[in-house]
Amino acid sequence: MSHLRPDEIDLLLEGATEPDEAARMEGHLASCAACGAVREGRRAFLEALGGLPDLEVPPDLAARIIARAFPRRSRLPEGLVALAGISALFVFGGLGYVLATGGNLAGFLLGAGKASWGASRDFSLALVKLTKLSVLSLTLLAQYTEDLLKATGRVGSMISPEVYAAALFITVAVAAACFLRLRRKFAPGERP
Amino acid sequence: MIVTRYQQPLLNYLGRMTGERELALDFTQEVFLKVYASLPSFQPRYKFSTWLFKIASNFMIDHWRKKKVGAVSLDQPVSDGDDAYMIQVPADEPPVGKAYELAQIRKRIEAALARIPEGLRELFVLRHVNEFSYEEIAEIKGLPVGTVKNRVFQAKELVRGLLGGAI
Repeated sequence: MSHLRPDEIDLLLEGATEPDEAARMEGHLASCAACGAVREGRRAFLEALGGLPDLEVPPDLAARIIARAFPRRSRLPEGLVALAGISALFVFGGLGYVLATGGNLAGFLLGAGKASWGASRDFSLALVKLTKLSVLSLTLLAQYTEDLLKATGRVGSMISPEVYAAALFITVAVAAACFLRLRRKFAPGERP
Repeated sequence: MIVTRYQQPLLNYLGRMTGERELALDFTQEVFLKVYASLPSFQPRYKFSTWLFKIASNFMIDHWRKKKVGAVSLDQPVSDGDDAYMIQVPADEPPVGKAYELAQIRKRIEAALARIPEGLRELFVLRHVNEFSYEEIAEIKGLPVGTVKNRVFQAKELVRGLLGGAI
């Protein structure tokens, strides 16, 4: 019988050989010193391969993966949460007060309703006053703007076209210089 | 949970395939994201681990295509220098000279592994690090079982040759 090949011996040692084939090979190995020696060498090599160590997994790796795979949904706006909290505090506080003092729940609710109505009315009045004030301010601003335009028109009619053109040129030049300077200042990646 | 169950074998695989710890950690995250995204297409008649490693293997193939990594010459000497990735030495090893000798041999095996062609290295890692059966590797790689057995043996012979008779 011919000698066993190293790859056959490897498969035998790894338990990857069919049972009848394994029995045949074991029979040969029992009587062949050369193949037995090869088997011991292969066994030592496979044992060394089998013990290759694990790479170190960072303790937070799983958390990082989960965070990326399942990003948290966006929360409710904080203001809304605060408003809901305050409302809940008032409701449960009121109920707690009524239960603790043994008061009349209907009376309490009526009082709370009146207080809320009063607060809403005051707020509405204040809002109306603020609106009136805003309208008045806008009216005044419109009048001042109109007067300013009229005055500018009169001054313009007194200035000669040459002076007007020179003034316009200087204004445009200054504006362009300011723009370029600001652009250079805020250009990305060129900050000192 | 999928991540805690498979992060170690996947990192072992990707670590050996990339040779860089940080890159392997990034790839581990990317592969798990692909796995989660592909979960609806998973068919329970397949083994989950082979399906996961199929995704990982395809990920590595894409990476090599992008990087166009060339095969490293087998004539280059096996380095005895520090490995690029950190390894954990098992605590249950024999405590004296034999353990040290075995640890040194394994270190050289790791270095030799980095020098063999990636196609063979991958099959070697799947068999001897991740301990998949030849049939499972054939399923992961879409190759005949005989071809897998042949190539794993080739990989082992290359590694053994690079060890220069150390074992």
